[in-house]
Amino acid sequence: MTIKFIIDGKKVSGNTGDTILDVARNYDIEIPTLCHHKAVENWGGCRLCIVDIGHRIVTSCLYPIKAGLDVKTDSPRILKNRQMILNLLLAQAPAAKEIQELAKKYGVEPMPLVKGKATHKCITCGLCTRLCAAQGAYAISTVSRGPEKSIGTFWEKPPEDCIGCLICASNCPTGAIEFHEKAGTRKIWEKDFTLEKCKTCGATLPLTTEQVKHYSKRSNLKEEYFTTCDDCRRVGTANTFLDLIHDPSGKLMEKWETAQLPPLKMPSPTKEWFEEQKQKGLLKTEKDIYEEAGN
Amino acid sequence: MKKLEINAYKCWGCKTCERTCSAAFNEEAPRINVIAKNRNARVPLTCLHCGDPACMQACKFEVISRNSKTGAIEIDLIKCTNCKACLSACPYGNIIWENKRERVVKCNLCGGDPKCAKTCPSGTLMFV
Repeated sequence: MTIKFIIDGKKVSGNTGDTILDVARNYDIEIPTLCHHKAVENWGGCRLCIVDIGHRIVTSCLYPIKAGLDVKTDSPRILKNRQMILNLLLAQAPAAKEIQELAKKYGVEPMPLVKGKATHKCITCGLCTRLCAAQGAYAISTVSRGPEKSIGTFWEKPPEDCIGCLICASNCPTGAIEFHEKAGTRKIWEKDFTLEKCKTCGATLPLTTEQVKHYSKRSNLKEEYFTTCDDCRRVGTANTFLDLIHDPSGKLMEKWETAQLPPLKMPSPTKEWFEEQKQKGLLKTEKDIYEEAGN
Repeated sequence: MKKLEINAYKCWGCKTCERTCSAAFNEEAPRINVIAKNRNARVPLTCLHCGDPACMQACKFEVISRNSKTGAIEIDLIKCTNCKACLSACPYGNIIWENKRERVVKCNLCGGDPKCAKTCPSGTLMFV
């Protein structure tokens, strides 16, 4: 069902179940976020997405839309609160560049607050833990509460369940998670991984051994799918196409289809196909192509 | 529904398709690659928009879907977490790791009007 309401004086609409942030993003209305990611559940952890709905201030990433809402993303109340939130985040994570940029954008004047460590970037938004859970690894979580709350592993040891997929590090809003790669190895959360090598040419792949096992198991695809490098796979595909081209009987194409390999949505230029195209008048001559390109 | 035909026997290896694609995406890595210098032939390769895509099966976050209008398989780039599962699962190597913006991309048939087919001088790529 369509629900109509207003954001910043603009008439907008959305479906039942959408949040204010979903609709704002559809209309390109800017609302800053840090802990939000479309791939996992909405969290409301960083509080940066707050909006003013008149009688209350709510997090737009969690508040479901209702008919007749009058939402303001930049009322004086919101600007003041947003500046306070950014001040607190700046104090917690002094090294986070993204927060410094946001602070500059919203005209934040730094307050004298007790600062975290000068190299600290983590804002404990928990996005990494939700992505890790969605991946099915459950290797990291938030530990402790209050001012000591942080992201950590079980008993602060290298996590057994971590597969080294880097989904936490790639999506962290402040780049707070460190990892190191060198000479076919990867290290994250103090755990060492070996990167897989291409079975054909030996090039290093961006996947760890544990990652390959995990991906192939959960998607029901054989491990062979994941252990050839991009270039070898493309050369292999080119070779297959060339074999199909040089097989006018069409038998290879049949074998391809009966092996239930992902179907190619392209006709192979067999003799029959050529005849068909000629009959339909679809076989272009070089002259036709040049004329068309000339327009 | 139209399909992008790759008549590889006609390919000149000029890589105009690669440059057009790159230009269409702000000089990023092209979503189409010409495999030349292999068996004395030239084969342009791009996403085959498979009937039963391995990439869709590999993705855990429901980021890959089929566009009902164009029939193309598309990655929702905002929802994607760049875990590279689809990139590794594609048996044809047609999903690209875009190095400039550090994300996973692939051909989406330009929303129904592929630019590579428009600029291919040899008639290798035809959108019919």
